[in-house]
Amino acid sequence: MMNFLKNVVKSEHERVAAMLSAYIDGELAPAQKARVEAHLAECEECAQNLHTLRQTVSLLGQLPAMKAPRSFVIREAQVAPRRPAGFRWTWAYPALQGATTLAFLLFVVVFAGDLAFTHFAPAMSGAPPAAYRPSITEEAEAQWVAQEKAAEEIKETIVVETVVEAAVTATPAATPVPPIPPPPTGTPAPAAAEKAAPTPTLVTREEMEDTAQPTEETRMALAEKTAEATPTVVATPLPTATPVEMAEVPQEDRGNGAFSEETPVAGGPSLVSPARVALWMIEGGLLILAVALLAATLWMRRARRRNWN
Amino acid sequence: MKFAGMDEKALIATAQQGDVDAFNRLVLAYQNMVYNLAYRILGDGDAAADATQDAFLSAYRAIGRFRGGSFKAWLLRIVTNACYDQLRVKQRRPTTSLEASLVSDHGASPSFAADEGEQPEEYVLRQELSRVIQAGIGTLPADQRIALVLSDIQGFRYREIAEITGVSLGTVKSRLSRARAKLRDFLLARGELLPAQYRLMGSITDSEQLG
Repeated sequence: MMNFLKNVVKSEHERVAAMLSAYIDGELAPAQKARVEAHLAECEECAQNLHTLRQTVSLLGQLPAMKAPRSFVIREAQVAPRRPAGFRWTWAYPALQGATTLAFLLFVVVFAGDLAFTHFAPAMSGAPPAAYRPSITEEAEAQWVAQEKAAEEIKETIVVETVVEAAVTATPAATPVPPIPPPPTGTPAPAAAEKAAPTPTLVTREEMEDTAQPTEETRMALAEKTAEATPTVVATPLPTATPVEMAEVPQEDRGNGAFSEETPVAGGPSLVSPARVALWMIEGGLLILAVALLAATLWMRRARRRNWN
Repeated sequence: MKFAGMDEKALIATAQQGDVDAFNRLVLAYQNMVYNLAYRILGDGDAAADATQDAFLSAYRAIGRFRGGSFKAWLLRIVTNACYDQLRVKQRRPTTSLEASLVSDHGASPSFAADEGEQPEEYVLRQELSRVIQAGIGTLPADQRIALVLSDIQGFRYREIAEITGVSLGTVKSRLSRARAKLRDFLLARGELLPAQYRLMGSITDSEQLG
């Protein structure tokens, strides 16, 4: 009987001991609170426990608040969506590589085509005799064909969306052909050359198409010229192609000896057909573009390595 | 919490649209509390800084999923999770033993700012107190530790602790009860390590001075 009572008391003691913590915080229901208080009044041990628990809680409350040792603000770089950024890097590099390859290929194709045309086309159609002097209509037609070819090439470059500054200048070089032959001296060449200077400008698709349009006008102008039948029809400005192009296509100059679209004007400088010039410019532009793209590719490869390490 | 010109709700809404600046204003408002909580749970300055950083980054990534209620509770839940992660890391890399950290000043806790008008001696004593209690907290299991720190250091009510830790009110109660009892026993056993004025007194009459 005594043992049983003792057990009951003990369990009450333990139950209260477990409630002391919540009692401190005032988190007990009124009935539980009354029970704890009743027990505390007769149990010295529990009263002592409550006291030391309160002291412990009080000590915890006296702990100094730690200050953040530094600022934890988030930098954009930390939270920038990593995948999209990585994705951009991953596609930008191969795209650049592809563009570089394409530009070089295009250059090689155009250049080879040009060489083949200038060297072998006359051979196939029967090399003209040295003294052969094409009639003005033949000449104009040859020029027209060449211009058609140039226009085609311009379109090609549009398709691959490459930057071909030469194309911009190509047609303007052909269009402003004056219906009346310019005087042998004081040609507008210098001004035109300035205009035609291959400043690497980005050409949008629209601009490219704009410049491609005037071929129609060119044809009409050519027809006019044919009618007038003046031997200087092709004496268009730009005998002085910019040094870059000249340097880049040296064989062309020599190759011109085989089949010449130039019309040697007595006493005047050797003049070059606008189609020729346009072709050179396309070739030069392509080469410049290809080299620029290659440089960009190499730069990006380095930047990428630096970024990832 | 009040912010210049913008209340917390508006800041949260702006941050939810991906505005880092708005989120950073919340960071600035909460970083001391977050760091303090992490420090008391982890007992280590570096680990606490790591947990704080991780917690804010997680919070930023997850803020889009915050659906109202107490932002503080939501944030501190993330913080306690970050602390659990840090504790797991710590378990893999056991550091100096408890007794060693108690006896020597090696790897001492980062110092805290002295209170306004606090005497240098008081400051030293409080630092001593901080060190011993921190060692005591370090003996507790993680669940109890977090309940104890949230309640007795951060001053949260049981209901809030239940919300933060995601357990029932009864669980909070029992974890806290056990944590306090254990810490009390720890402090009683090592009373000599505590500055005299902070010692737990064996009897009620002796300790009246503590108030």
